[in-house]
Amino acid sequence: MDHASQIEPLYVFAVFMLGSREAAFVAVADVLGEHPGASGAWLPALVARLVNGEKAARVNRFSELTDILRTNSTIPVGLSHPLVQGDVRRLSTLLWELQRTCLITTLRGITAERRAVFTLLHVLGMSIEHTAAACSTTPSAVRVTDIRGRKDLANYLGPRCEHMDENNPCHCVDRLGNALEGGLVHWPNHHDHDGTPFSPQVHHDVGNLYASLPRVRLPIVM
Amino acid sequence: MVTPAAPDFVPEKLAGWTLQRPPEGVPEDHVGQFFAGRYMLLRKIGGGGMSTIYMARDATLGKSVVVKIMRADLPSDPVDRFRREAVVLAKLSHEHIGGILDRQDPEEGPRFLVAEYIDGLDLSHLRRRGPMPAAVAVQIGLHVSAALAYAHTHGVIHRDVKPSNVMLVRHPGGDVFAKVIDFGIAKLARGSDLADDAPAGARRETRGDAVAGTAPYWCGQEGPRRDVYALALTLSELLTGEDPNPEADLTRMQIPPGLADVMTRALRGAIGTMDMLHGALREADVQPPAEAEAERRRYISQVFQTASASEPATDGAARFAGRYIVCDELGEGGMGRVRAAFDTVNRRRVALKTIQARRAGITNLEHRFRREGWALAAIDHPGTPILFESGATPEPFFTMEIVEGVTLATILQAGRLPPLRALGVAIDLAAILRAGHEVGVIHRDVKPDNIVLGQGDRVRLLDFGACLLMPRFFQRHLMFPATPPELRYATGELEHVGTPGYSAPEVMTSGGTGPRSDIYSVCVVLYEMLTGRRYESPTVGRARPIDPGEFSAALGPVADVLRRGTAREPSERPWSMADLERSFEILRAGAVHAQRRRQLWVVALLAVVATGAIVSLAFQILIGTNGTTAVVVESVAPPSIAPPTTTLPVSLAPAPAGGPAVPAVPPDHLGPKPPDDTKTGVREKTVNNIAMLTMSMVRARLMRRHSRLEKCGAPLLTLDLTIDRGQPVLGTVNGMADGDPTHDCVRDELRGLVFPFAGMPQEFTVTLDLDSKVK
Repeated sequence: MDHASQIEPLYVFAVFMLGSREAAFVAVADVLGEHPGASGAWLPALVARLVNGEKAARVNRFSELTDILRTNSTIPVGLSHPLVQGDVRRLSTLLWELQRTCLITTLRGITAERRAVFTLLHVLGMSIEHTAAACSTTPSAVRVTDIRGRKDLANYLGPRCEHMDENNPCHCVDRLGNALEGGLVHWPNHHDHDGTPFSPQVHHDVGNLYASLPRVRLPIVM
Repeated sequence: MVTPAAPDFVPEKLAGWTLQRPPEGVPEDHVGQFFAGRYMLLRKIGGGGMSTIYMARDATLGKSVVVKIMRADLPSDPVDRFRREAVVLAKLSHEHIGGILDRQDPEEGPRFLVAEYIDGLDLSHLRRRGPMPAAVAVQIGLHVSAALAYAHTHGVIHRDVKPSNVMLVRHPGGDVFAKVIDFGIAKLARGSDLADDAPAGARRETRGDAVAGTAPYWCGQEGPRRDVYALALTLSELLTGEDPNPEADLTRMQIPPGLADVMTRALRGAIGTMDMLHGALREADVQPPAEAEAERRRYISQVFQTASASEPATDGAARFAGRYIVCDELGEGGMGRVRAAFDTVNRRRVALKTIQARRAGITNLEHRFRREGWALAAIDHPGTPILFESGATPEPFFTMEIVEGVTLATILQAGRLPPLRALGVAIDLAAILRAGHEVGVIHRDVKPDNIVLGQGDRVRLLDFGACLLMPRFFQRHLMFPATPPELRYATGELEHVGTPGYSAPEVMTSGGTGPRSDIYSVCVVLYEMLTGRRYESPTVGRARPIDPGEFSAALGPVADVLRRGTAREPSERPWSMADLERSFEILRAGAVHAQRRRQLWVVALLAVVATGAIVSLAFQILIGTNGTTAVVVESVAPPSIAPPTTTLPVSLAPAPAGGPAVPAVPPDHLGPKPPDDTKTGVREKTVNNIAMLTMSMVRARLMRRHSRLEKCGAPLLTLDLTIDRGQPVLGTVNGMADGDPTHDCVRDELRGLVFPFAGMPQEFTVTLDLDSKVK
């Protein structure tokens, strides 16, 4: 039996919660080990595990992101950059990677419960009821948590990010150099990007913005 | 500013195009990937050029498993071995043999095998703790011998019994049991009941010339006796806590006499079958049961307590030292453990090195650990990892850059390197070590596993855990205030570090370690790169004689350089790493030149062939139009003048004994020589360059000893030198004849200097102004 379709949503959820593909992979594997064969229990167990784990670890990541990206100076990155190697396709890949990494890091600035609900609803596209079941809570609590989480994100991204308003000051193309320099973005070691040209789109709703990000894929062999 | 997407951009939907391909001959790393629709590959726990072994989580069963994935593009030999292992493991069912859970053996695509994950310690870890109590060793011996006796009755010979292939697992009740793993090179005896199910290739007889196994656990015999010998050596190693030594007198050690006698008899071949060894071990277990049980439980409790000491959590919640998110295992050695971590303060990935939990608290190891950090901080060379931070809380640690690339050991599994590439790596390696020696750091453990080749063959040297800090390290001008002697982490007289086969003899015997010890290791590594074989043969356990015939003729006297570099006596090796580096440079210059000459001849050959073809074609056309002309042309067709490739010139082979070497010269009939050729077939410019390098070696050597030379009372020295078969022959010094004190003094200083181009007659004069140096 191929479990990829069951495990991929868990992996995506963990990546958005933890901001690290390696840590996400280990977290999913741990949950599988704790609940052998019970695929229905995997998501609630993962949600509980990550929410509880992240509660203790919360730091103000909004300021970290600002320190790295939103400085007064910008570092130009053109086709001659060593990571771009003269290939426009590679430049687009780095920009997609920057957009997604930046927004995932931003998401990690809100509380673990709000992050979990937001990810399940808007990134994974689950219904309120399913989200409530996964979070072991009620649909009304999910709605409240979602509204608060979106407000936190909109407050931060609204006046800054070009994907919320094209007149905002923070543009991915201008910040890529800082992101590479600061270690926020690396050349990806996954195959999520297919070389599609980077085209910044404006979403006034943060939920839609996160839903439009390039999909995180479970790395599969064979 | 970033350039936006070009208007003529055509998106290509190529999944996976962003991934970096591993270098040729190196298996892909699948850590962090979901495999075969079922297995989450969590970390790499072993493998080499043929296959990679991962610890994984089985999504169906929810348990940890071991997945061994074979490279898809392998020849039939390793594939057959892989199939044989699958067949053997699938059929053998014994409580002390690690079982198989799943396998896939398609004709096309990757083959893999899934076995149970044994959550325990392999015996090689236990050996490092020192001598093992006899009661535990006997228990392990009984378990393993029972498993192997069972395998032998089914016609399966393990052939690779050694400490790392026996796992010790703790039973929930507190006792332990041993499991034999890795039947990768097992042999199916003729007539085995398992052979019926084995694929044709897997049933094939082992080739007579192929040696599989691990030295020194191989006794030179095949069949059950081979496993008996290996198990006896393994047990004696555990009982003594020392390196395996079949010649050791076990009766003189703290081993019960009965047990020592069994081991000795098994090692000498007096015990022929595994059943006999099992019986002998049972009889040797003469310790009172209560006492043995208490001893066993005490030891096991200690072993597993330290092994399961608290480890930093890997999830996002815990931070090591308050700032590092620990992500993944990168490797584990005899002392340290290296993990990938994310530095949340500086937003970068780092390699986090700590002391293994089970070895924490050992003072000597902590000293070595700190010494490594000091060494990395002191060496200023891009070939060593950058040290970021070090600390002592929650445990001694330091962070450094993650070195990306492939270890030389992995690359060498695919065979030897091209000579120029090998020399390039050796030169870079020598330069790194030279930088270390300059600040008083001797690596002592240079081996292919510690050498990483990155993009463009950038050489990085890792693992300074075994390094030795010389007095020079503490006398550097930047060391202020001076390090108190008690904090200098001096090497203990009995500190055994290094790797047999790569480390110099004096390192392994704790005597006279110095910069020349690393010279030995570099030469051993170069030998392996050039020949694809270990310098110290794993089958015979002693050094190979270095034969010039093993190397390409273009490399000139590389055998001479290697022979001197691997001399058992340190004083016979090159003077310094800088000398060795220059020797390699000279060798490379010669090899490059030879390659260019060869290319020139190939081009010339192709031109001749092409001209011939054109002429032939022209006359073919003429034949079609005028038969008479064709007859005339046939009679004057040019003879074939292409020389065989092997006779092409520029071979700078060492001279035969008794006379100077005569480099191969291009045959006269091959056409006029290039205008800048000398009679040796080597371009004059190259000769000059080599002569200049050689002179600089002489000058450097003598200037280092200028104070001694000054005493001879000659501030300005003029030396006439000739190089004869690699030996410097001193002519006159300032017109003085042999016997003059100054002359003898200079000759003494030149002794042992390496002149790699033995085949090249070189006569030159070196002028040395000692006064100017002093000023």
